[in-house]
Amino acid sequence: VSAADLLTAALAREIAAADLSVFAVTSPATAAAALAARELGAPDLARAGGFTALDASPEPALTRGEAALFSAGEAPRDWVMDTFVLLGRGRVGVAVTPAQLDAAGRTNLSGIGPPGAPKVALPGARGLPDNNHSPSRVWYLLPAHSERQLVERVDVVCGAAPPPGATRRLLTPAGCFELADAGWRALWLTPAGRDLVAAAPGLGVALTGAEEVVAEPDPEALEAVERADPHGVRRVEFASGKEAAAMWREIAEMETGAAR
Amino acid sequence: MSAPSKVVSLEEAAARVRDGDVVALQTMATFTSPMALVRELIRQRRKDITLVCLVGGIAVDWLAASGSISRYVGAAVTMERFGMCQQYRRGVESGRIAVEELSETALLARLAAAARGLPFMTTRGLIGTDLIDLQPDNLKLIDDPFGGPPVLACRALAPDVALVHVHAADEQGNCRVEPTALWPDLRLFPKAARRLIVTCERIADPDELRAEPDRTLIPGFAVDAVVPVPYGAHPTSLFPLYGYDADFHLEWVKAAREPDEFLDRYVRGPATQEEYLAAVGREVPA
Repeated sequence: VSAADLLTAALAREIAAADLSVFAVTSPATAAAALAARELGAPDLARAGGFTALDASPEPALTRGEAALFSAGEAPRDWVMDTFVLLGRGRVGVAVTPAQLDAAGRTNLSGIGPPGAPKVALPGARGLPDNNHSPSRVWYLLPAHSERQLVERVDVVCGAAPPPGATRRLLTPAGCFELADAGWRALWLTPAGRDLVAAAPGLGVALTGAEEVVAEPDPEALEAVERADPHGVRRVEFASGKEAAAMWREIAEMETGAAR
Repeated sequence: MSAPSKVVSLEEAAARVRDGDVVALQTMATFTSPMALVRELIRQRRKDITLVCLVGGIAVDWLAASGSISRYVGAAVTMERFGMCQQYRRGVESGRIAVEELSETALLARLAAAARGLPFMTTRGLIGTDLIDLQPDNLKLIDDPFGGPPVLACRALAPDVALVHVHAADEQGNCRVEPTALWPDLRLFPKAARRLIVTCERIADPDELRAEPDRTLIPGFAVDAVVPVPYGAHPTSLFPLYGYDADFHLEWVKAAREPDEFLDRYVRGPATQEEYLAAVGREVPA
């Protein structure tokens, strides 16, 4: 089973169980997970784009991005308030992919190297500071469990450590982890999880040996994800370079054709 | 008696942006940006611009490749699924482009303060990050005078000029956006900037706008110049009229490391929007 399917299905379950009012969509995989979550026990969950409509009908093609939330149809809760207003209210969830995440739950999307003098410039903080600062639930969805991304301390703190009591979870091909007072701990592992955790020690995850091992996605969740994302746009996020570009083009053409 | 027309040519509009200006540019990654105006700025070899964007995209990369920007104030620069903006990245890594990196909410706070004539507005998201110490002139942690936890004062930012693209405007500059403004920059820029230049897909009859005044997003009195440019946001999207041009973004991604040929063909070369559309193989939408 692919990491894209396993982790999108897992995120869908997480969202469904989190007692959220709104889920802020940041990418196709997170949009698919939120749509699937509605089938998995959160039928009233609203989805929000960054600054745009809450929900829309008909459902957008996932490759068209946030603008498609308006589509040609209705947007029953149009431009009520932006994501950051909603985040402050606490019953909102968001899943993001920072370039670096550290042992204290800090994130970096600014640059690799010293603050203000990056050896490698990255896109920029965008909404990470407000996500991190909020009491709302934040998931980190990473396509690889890599020591490059999972570090003891991020190079540039552009998202601070979360406030006390805020839930932060990490989904990677190694499994699912939660930030607790004593650092990150594993909630469950994939079959490769133990080796991946050992190869990326920066987060300081201490395994007990008693962690549940999950080899396959929950079938009900995976079916819901498939219905939400029949063309597999979620898989683009787990690919890179030319493979991702080719995959994106192919899926966009399928979705455009299906929308006609 | 009707008010004088604010319609000008693309060349004249771009000439109103001066070297050294602080320019607020509408852009949200692959979403609407006044691209025809950006190309004309590059054709006119504008220099030393401080660019203010919520989330810059291909427009920022072209301006960086052309040596037009010396400073960037914003929350990010990315083409999202098409990847990083390589020319911008090169400019930052070399030190040629200085960056004042903010969160989206901190940038909006700075603009909102300018819009209301206040010295600053406050936010909290950046507290605990490294970004505050990098901008001591514009961000300061202050006590809450009402006894709560500290807040971050974000200094007012009033751009010299803002550049936006809309669906329709009349000759006096009243602007309609369909179905509504997707992003907050389009609502704040006209209030925060000292001057506003609008490009639009079409010039509308004033009676058409007056018939549905609630759909007018920007009032004409806030607008300094209007330029009709069909397909003026290409290759970014102007929902619902057209989506972003994925193939064109990918072509830029391939060309971006050695961009001169691409820029000559699509940016510096075409003298008019018609020539540009012919170069990219697009027709003016009906």
